[in-house]
Amino acid sequence: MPISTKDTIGILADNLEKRRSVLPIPTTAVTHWTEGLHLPRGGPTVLYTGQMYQLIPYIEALVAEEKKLGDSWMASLSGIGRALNRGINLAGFMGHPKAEDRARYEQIPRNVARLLNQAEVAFGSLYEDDWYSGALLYDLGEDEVVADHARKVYAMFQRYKVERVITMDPHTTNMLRSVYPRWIPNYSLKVQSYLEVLAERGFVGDRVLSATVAIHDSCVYARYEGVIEEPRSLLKGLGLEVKEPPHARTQTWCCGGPAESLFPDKAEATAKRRVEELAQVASLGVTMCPICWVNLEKATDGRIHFQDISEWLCSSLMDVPLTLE
Amino acid sequence: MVVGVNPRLAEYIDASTGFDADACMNCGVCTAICPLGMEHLPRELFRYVVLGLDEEVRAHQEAVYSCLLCKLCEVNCPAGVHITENVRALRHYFNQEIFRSKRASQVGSWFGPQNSRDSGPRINAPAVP
Repeated sequence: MPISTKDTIGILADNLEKRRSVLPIPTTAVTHWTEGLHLPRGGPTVLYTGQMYQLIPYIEALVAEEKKLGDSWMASLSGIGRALNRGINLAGFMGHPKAEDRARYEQIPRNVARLLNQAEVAFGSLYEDDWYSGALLYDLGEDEVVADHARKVYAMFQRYKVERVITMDPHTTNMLRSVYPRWIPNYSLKVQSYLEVLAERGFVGDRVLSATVAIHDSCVYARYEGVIEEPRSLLKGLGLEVKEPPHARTQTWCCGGPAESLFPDKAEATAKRRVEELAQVASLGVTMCPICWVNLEKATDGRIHFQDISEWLCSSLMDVPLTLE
Repeated sequence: MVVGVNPRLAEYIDASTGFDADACMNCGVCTAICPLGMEHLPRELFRYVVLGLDEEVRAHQEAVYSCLLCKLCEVNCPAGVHITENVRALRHYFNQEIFRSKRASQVGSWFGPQNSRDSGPRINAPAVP
């Protein structure tokens, strides 16, 4: 193994315990997407990012740094030392994303807000209290630390009198809907992906789109959460022709992203295989998870252009300013 | 062949996580279908756990942490083994070393104060296919 896995997991766990995220990012980076939207704070329904899209440019900046060292992004953390990280958030000193990268990923929650607005769904935001779900550390088997964190997140939802959470990525959806209830008695939050909410409300855009797209199912949406038909019905509702790659729906192939934190070479090889499949059926691709998006995009080699599903859905709206007041 | 066996290994992992590898029929669908082409996960490694071959399990930590948890094997498993939860259970088991001081009493209650690798008797065990 190229890095000390144990040191790395220890650092991630310390970060989640002390700083509420495995990779703490500035509060402004978490909340910037809300600027100008005038969303109410809390309330019965909130749109919850779980910081997933906002985290990607920071992770990628770390990846760029660590590539100079020839290791994974987490190696750059573990090499510094777990003890030092307990006192200082070392991630804050490592890798600064470009403004355009941040803007690109921040646009996704804004897109989702706009789509929900179009579907006449009322919602608020938790702003700086929109915490990371703990998904990565849960995947690494660190249940005790994540369970403690889950109880804090749930208490925070209760403080804001939240009854329903609308999520925008598969990992946060899975954690809040299927994992947290194992640890929290009488868990009462209703959790839905915005794709489910839009499909339920029969979302249609303002104009018809004409294109052929390859759909990439997220493993977590398709196999953990059963979100399979919703993205298809939404895309087809826009007028798009949706092409299925050889592995699709419950048989979808992974983008390789989950391996990137510890084994970037394996992640890259897996992503390339998946790109091959998707490029067989179309030159435009649709993703619905930030991890899939960034990993497949890095492996495209110009063969296929990926866009997040929210970008496709927003493309169908007339170009009017977003007003959510 | 003489190998170290920890007869409480599967019991320990099962107690905290619902590890159900004993349902595995060793048919190999998981190995054939794995996007990473992993040889050792899940069937071989699960068999090591069931047999208490702690050293073999620990020798394959990279495979355990490499798994994508993509669940493709699990939805195709004819025996319905909860493969991804089992993999997470193994990670959780390995992670005990990271949090040893915090969880000393919990781990100790299962393995005693010494390292689990030394806690089991040494017996002749069949080779894992």
